[in-house]
Amino acid sequence: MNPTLSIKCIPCINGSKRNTIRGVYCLTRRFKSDDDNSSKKNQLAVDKLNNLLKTMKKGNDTIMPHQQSKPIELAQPRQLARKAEQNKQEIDDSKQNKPLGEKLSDAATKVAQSIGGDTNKTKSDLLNLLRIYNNEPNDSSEKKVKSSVQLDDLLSGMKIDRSQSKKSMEFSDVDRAQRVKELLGYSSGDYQRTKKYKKPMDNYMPINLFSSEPLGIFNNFEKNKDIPILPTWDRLHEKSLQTAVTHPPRNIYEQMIIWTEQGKLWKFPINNEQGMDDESNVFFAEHVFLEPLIEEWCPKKGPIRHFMELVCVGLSKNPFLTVEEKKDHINWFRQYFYEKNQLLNEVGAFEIKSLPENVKEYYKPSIPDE
Amino acid sequence: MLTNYRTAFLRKSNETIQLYRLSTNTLEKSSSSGIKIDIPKYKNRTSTDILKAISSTIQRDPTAAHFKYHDDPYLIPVSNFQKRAYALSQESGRKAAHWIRNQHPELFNHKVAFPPIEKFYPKVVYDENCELDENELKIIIEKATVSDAITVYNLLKKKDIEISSDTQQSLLELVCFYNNQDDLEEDWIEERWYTQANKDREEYRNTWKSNGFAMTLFSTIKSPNSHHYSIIIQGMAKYNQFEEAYKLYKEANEKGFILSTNAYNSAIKTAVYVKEGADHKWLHIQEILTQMCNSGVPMNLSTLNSILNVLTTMAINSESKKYALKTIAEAKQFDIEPCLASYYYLLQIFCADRKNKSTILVDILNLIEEKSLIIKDLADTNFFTAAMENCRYHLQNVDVALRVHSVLLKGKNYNLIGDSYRESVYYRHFFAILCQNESVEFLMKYYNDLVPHIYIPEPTITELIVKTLNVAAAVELYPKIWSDILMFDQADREPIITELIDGMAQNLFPSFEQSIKEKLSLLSGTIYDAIEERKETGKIKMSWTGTMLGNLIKVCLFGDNINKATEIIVKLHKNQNEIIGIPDSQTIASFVDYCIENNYFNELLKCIEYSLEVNYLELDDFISKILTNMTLSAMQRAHLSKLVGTEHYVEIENKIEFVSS
Repeated sequence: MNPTLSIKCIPCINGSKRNTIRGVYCLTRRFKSDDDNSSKKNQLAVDKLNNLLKTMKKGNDTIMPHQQSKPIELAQPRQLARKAEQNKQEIDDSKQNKPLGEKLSDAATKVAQSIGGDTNKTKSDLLNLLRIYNNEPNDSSEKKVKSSVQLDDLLSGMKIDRSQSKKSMEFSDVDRAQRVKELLGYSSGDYQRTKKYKKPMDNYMPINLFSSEPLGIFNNFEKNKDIPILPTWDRLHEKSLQTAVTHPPRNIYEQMIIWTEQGKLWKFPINNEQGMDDESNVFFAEHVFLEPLIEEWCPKKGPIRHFMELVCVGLSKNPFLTVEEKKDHINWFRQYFYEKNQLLNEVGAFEIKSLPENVKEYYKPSIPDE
Repeated sequence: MLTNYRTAFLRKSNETIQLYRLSTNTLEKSSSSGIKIDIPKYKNRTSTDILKAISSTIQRDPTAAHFKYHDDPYLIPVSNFQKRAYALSQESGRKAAHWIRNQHPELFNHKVAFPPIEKFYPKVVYDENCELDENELKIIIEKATVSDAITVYNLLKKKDIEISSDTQQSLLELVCFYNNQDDLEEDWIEERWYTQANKDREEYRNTWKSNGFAMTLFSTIKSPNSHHYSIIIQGMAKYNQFEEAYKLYKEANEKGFILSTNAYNSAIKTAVYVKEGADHKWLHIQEILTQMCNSGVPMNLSTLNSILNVLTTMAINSESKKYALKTIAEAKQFDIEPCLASYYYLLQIFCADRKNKSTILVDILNLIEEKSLIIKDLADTNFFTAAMENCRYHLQNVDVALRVHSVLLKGKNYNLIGDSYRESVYYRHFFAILCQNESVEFLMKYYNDLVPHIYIPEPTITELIVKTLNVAAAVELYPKIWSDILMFDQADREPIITELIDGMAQNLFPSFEQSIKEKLSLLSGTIYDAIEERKETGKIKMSWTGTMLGNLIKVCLFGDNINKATEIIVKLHKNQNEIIGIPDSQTIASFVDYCIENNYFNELLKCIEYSLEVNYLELDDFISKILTNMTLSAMQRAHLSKLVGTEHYVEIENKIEFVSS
């Protein structure tokens, strides 16, 4: 049962370290020979040694993570657990920072005590063994480094039975009650921390945002009259601000607002003449009373007069033509009759004296061939 | 007699009328002599005022989908994905129409309306055959279509047509403002609403087109004046080309130009990239401010915001807060009121320190609560999301969150929410804080109002909500939340389902009314069926766990839904290799107890069959319980013994006899 450790170890270790391993092997043998009668206790011893080796390995690298890792939640319970473990010995904080050698010797004492029998002998045996690789624990740093490297190599090479989880290992010597107590203690610490933690709103201190001293840069400020102004840029910026707050319409009226702004919809209040900007400046009388236009050239009576009056009535009722177009329309007849002057003279009806001014091209009628 | 009365009465009433008339006469007289009547001035109403007035009378209906989805009731979206897809596809339909109109302008020559509607015209294509002059260019600049403006400018150059310096300047302003690209057309509201735009990532990315038309135009100007410098500096800073902008700023300074206020603001912003370290940045700012003062250029709101923006990048520095307040005080001298963007930056500056928490949000709320807010800076739209996030992570206070929310709902402030992405982030934080801090009733008040038409909770938030229901044992809400989970396509989220089923199984109190019990058990059956169905069709890939199914069985038994419970047991038995873990033995025990009590032998057999397979430690107890508490027929006994194995069965029987004797 017990030699498994050394058997496991051997293949992993190179020659130079073999004698140290032999030491470990011997050690285990010795325990066996000391307490021959109970193999159970023997097994216990091996386990203890295993544990010791584990703590050794850990002791080497505890300092680093201890400093690095910020959260206290991790660091605290470990300390607590260890304290609980070594309750009788009352290891204080300074001891935690002791050099490795001293820690080892403490650990060895503990192992020796727990194994029972000849305590001093066991302890000295253990320490003797350790001295093999750690000759002068208080020596110069260079040697220390060297030795610790050796130890490291050795330990990392060994396959220590780590089947137990880290946590359970820490609590291995502690009974359930104690563990529960620790758990409670831990959580009560947690509780205290939450109690200490104040919500930010509890200590609300009003800040007046405008109460501070100004920077004092613009103290002697005189405004310059000709600062460049960029009209297009400002317009575009304004537009981009507006689009930033234009969201999908929430109801039909908002939709209609957008359409109105885009010019797709009649503007409210509804106006039939919307967009007829040219016409809005024209008085309605000019649309309706067209007789003055024929007054100056048209004969006072007769069929031409009759015809032209009818044209005027028709035009005055036409909503689709602008005043300009109506005038052009009448002028077209004026020109038409003017070109028929000869015929009119022959029949002795009438003579149209003057041509209208500025007759539009498209209103010029083609003169029929004789 | 009667007539006498009547006449007397009439006379009397006539007298009173007379009297009344007299009195009103005197009143009128007195008013004409003493009090002056104020006739209110004619108010000019714009064309949209009537519409705005009507629109303001319409309240939001929390049960209705957004207006844009109202066309087709079959297409009412129920998930974030659908919302986006439907809205954007509607808009892409419009886009297709635009495309056809632009592709075939010859088909749209008819005049459909008088006065003609310009928006419905096909797009004008400019090429060398066009008769062009400077006025055309001016009109295009007015319409702000960058690509057309560039084409027309080049055509005019080719034809050797002189362009006035004013037009040239506004062209430069146009191309600098839009970075030589066409902006998203204003018609595409949905696209803007749903563009996530990677805004956070692009915030400081240099997107300025260094070989773009703006630079070419700038270089063709022989002797650029202060306007040109201002424009190009503003353009570069807008698109984060800070180094070049700063270089040009220094160049302009050397030439002794006085730049526009916004150009100075842009120069302040360059501190983010040009200078490193808080001290240098602050020196940079002070330098430019001094320069502004010396040139007689006043601060404006954008100056304040630029400074605060730079300060956010050095918020870890303890001096930043002091600087920020000083800047605000300085701006106050120019009567500049901070806008939402300023407050957004202030939040960032003051709340960078997570240990020493600042409550500045409350002070900001005190300032803005009574005001109706309008947009003054593009960054204004960041405020509400940031404020709610601050409530959730920084202040962890639900009262402040509710104040923020009430400010958002006030007047037209909701328009400042930004876009759909910011809106959903805002509500994510809002619901998270409601879940953490408030009663279920309170949470559900907001939930019913906002979900699903305004906000659909993300899976993490759904999980939080389910957790809140669990803690409050609000069993009556489980059916609703489950149907919502199904609707939002979140039935494949294992944490949500686990949380829900766990919560249901934990909140089974025997004091519930029978109807509630039945509803719960029915619900658990529905959950099982729904997930099964979706798994079969391959919609979800979540695999069952033993605990989940165990919990479902528990709930089923609670409401006497033995059929479903048995179905689940059979499922457990059949698909052992797909199901992770097993239900705990208590669940099985309660199943056995239930069957014994109600004499369900067949169901019991199935359960025992499964327990045999799993090999529960308590198996023997189950069987002995059955044998002692149930009266079994010989046939049933034979069944059981066959199932358990005759030897084992006999063993158990003997044990029972031994105990009883």
